[in-house]
Amino acid sequence: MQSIAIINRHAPHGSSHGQEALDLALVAGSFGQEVGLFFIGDGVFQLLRQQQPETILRKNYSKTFAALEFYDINTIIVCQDSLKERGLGEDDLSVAVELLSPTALTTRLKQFQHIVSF
Amino acid sequence: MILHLLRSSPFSALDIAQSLALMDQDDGLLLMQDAVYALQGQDQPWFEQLQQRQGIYILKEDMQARGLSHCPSFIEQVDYSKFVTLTLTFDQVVTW
Repeated sequence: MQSIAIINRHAPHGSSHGQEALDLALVAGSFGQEVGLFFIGDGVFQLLRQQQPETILRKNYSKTFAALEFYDINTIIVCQDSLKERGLGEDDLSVAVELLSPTALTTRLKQFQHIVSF
Repeated sequence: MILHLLRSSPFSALDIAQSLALMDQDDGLLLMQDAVYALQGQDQPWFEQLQQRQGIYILKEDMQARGLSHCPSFIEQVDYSKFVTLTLTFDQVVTW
């Protein structure tokens, strides 16, 4: 079994990075690989609750974050500083996550064999 | 009078700081697409400058799409049709 870390750095809907990162996580998960989803910088905006991208004709993939556990993906790590810098807290997020400092996040990242960034 | 259109996230682009520096009193600034994340910028250096301005607008549809709901009173929420009207009331429109 391989392990892959997927880093999200972009906000949702302004680009398709978020959707593509999530698709990769689901595919890797369904092939029984160990997947870690990391959210840093504007990537933390992907996890905001109450997104309604239908208003701008975008697909609402944020609901899929709740389904990650069915793909045995339960490593969802968010950078604490990125969240705080954007006036956000854990209760603004749509899914349970692990909040880590940048250094702790980097240490966790290094435990994965493959790292992909979106 | 210029209407400045901002589209990228103020946390990862300098557009907002640069356009604010360029703005006159009677110019306007419209936050759309990822620039609506400026709503989350209370602790950022440029937020105070934004607060002291008139003519700051934000596109409602882009806000809702991103799950942002609380908008401070100094920013006027507009929808797409009001956005079009705005572009006609200003002399020039600058897209950042």
